[in-house]
Amino acid sequence: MAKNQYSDEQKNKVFNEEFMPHIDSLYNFAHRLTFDEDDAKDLVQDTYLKAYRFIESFEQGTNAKAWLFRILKNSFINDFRKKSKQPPKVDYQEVETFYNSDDVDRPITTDLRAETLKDMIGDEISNALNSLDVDFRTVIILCDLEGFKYDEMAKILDIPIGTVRSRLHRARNLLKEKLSSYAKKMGYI
Amino acid sequence: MGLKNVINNLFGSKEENDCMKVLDMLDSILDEEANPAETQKFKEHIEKCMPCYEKYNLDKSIKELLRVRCNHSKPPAGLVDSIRLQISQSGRA
Ligand SMILES: [Zn+2]
Repeated sequence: MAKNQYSDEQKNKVFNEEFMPHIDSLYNFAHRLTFDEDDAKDLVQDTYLKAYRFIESFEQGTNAKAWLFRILKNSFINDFRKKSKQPPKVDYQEVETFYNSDDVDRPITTDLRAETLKDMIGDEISNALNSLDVDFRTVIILCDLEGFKYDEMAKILDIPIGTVRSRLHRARNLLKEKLSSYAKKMGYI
Repeated sequence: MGLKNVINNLFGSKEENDCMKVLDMLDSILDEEANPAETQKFKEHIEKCMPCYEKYNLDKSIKELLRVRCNHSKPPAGLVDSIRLQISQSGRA
């Protein structure tokens, strides 16, 4: 990793101008990972402290937002998930193997239509997103909420682009199934 | 590509094959990751294929809805100050 020598003044400039503007996005991400305001706050704070500490490995002019998201995601996995009292989540490898079948890869047939979505005026979409397993939830957040490109997602998550694509595809199918079941429950379809 | 696709490529109708190829591109199109040739092919197809158009329209609406409805948790007041304070303290250490 290339090291950049920054003066204290430069450090503060990078921190204020390139890092701080992403605090809303980072907090939203942290909140959707942890489902807890205090945990989200700690995770964001920890991310910024690490970002400052390792600021010399940040290449100015490159994508600061992706760099910060990567730090946050690593902190979540390494520090937070270990400490958390939540029962251990399903191992991702297992989930991937389970879903890695033609049944999930097929375009799902659903009665859900774009018009039906307009009737969902409450928190259905947000609840559907939160109901997904963390790895599926993460790719949707990065792609659809934050607008990261596939190559950026690959770097943030340390996975190949092909895995980004397949995980995103599965996540979208699972989300549609969830929305479809909400729509049925509410009598829209 | 799964076994089903292979079988369909061998035995499926021309139309089904076209739809399947187009639907394989759906995510890339939505996420603006497809190249111009793919995008053109996709556009031409959904102009004349209603089922594919509807699938595209549904996925596009969901993507839009996610962006608009799921970006609402704002950091608590004081978080920015608390980060700045901790950094100025760590700088002195
Ligand atoms: Zn079609």
